[in-house]
Amino acid sequence: MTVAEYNHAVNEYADRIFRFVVKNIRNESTAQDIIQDTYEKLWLKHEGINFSKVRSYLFTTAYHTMIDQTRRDRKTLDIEEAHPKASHPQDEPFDLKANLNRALDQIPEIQRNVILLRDYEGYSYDEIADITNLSESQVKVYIYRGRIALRKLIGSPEVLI
Amino acid sequence: MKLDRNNYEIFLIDYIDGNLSLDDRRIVERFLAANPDIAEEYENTKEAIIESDHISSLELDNLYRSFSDLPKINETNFEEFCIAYHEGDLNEEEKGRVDTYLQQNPEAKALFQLHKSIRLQADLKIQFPLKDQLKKHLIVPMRRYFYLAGASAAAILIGFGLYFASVREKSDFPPAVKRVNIANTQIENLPQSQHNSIQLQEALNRNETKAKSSPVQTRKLLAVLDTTEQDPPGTIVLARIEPLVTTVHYSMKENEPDMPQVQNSTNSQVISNYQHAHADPPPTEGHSRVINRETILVGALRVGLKGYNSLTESDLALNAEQDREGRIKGISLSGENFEMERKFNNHINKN
Repeated sequence: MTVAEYNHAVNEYADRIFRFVVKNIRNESTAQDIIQDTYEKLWLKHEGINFSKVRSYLFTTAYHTMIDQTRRDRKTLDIEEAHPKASHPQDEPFDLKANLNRALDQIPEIQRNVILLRDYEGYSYDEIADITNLSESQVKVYIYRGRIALRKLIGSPEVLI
Repeated sequence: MKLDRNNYEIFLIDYIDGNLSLDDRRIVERFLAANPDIAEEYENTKEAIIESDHISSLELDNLYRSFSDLPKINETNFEEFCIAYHEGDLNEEEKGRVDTYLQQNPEAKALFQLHKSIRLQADLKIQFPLKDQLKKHLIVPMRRYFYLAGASAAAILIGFGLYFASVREKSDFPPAVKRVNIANTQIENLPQSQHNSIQLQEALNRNETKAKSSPVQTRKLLAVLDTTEQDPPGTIVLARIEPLVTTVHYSMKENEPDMPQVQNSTNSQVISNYQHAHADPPPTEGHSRVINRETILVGALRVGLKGYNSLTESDLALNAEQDREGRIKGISLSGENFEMERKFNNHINKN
């Protein structure tokens, strides 16, 4: 990968990876560090990486950096306090997007990760499997579980009616 | 053994374990459809499995087969069909079955629509704010500004004549050197020192044109006095490593001819300036005016070159070191966290 291609990878993917990480860890400062670490690792290896693989490399690297970070943070983070409940206030009109975002915070991390990769980036099961070191079948199961969990957290199907 | 309400648990276990043939699975599924109470029990069992951390092979098998083999959609499995439908996991025949089910069970449409709606969409307003610091750039020599004290000692002597009374011989000016010692370039005390894993020496390898430094280093590495074998004797290049935007000011005294005035220069401007410096005839407006290159270094040393790094918001200074006889024996560029210097083998006489 050339310098120009590396810079193109910055323009093309930095925002997208940042959104993925921020959505997961909900901490912009830490997310910035993760993105910088990710691109630093890419730069160190850029001569040996084909540009066609750079997107996968970046997401994979960012994902594992993020997982390492969250494992370190988990000891001190009170999940219940950090994550608001998904249910919307009864006296406010139903906002699907806001409720979905709240619900996303409450589902297990692995489910959130695979669903974000699926929805944000449109990755296939096998691509997500490569990024997350899961099997394709596991990815599919986690996505299904996550979808059901999100639906249950959002509420009954009639909320849209 | 025929499946009935007395022995269904054995069949269900085998069903869940994935030990049944396709025909036997369909027998179980027809049985479940005909016995809603047992189907509910089965669902609870499956839920319990799904709630566990471990994904068993039977669960995977069940999930896969449920979409490829299940002949009938029912209230129990409909939600999984909804997900499969919207994930694009169903073939046309299976999607047709879902559509048929929806027509027959209008109350199921809400759930179907809800699953269609709960797709996450990226918030495009969220953008990584430090992209420029991630990018890598070529080192752009700022010969325009310094163009360095002259290509030859003879030219320098002529140029000196514009400002200085005496003219020195060619040998007074430093010859080109292969490599400038930048070993003492320090980037200590950086707030994000954990990123400083790459040696600056590598980044500034003489034969390389790319800056192999981390984003953080790149932000902090301001400039380097440098020269190459290809440069004319006496050439000293203030090389920049982007994405730094180093603004260089020439502080001029009265009655001295104009020198390049560069303020708030951007990368493109620097390149433009460099190009202008080599244009023939040179541009005559503003900072792009070309003067005798020989005067610039000594003139800059005399008046004191001031620079400013807009990223680190710190000053740069080019200073001269004199020997006992008042000749310039070295120059240094200093700024926040660093100082670089170059010694001249042959000291420059300013007068």
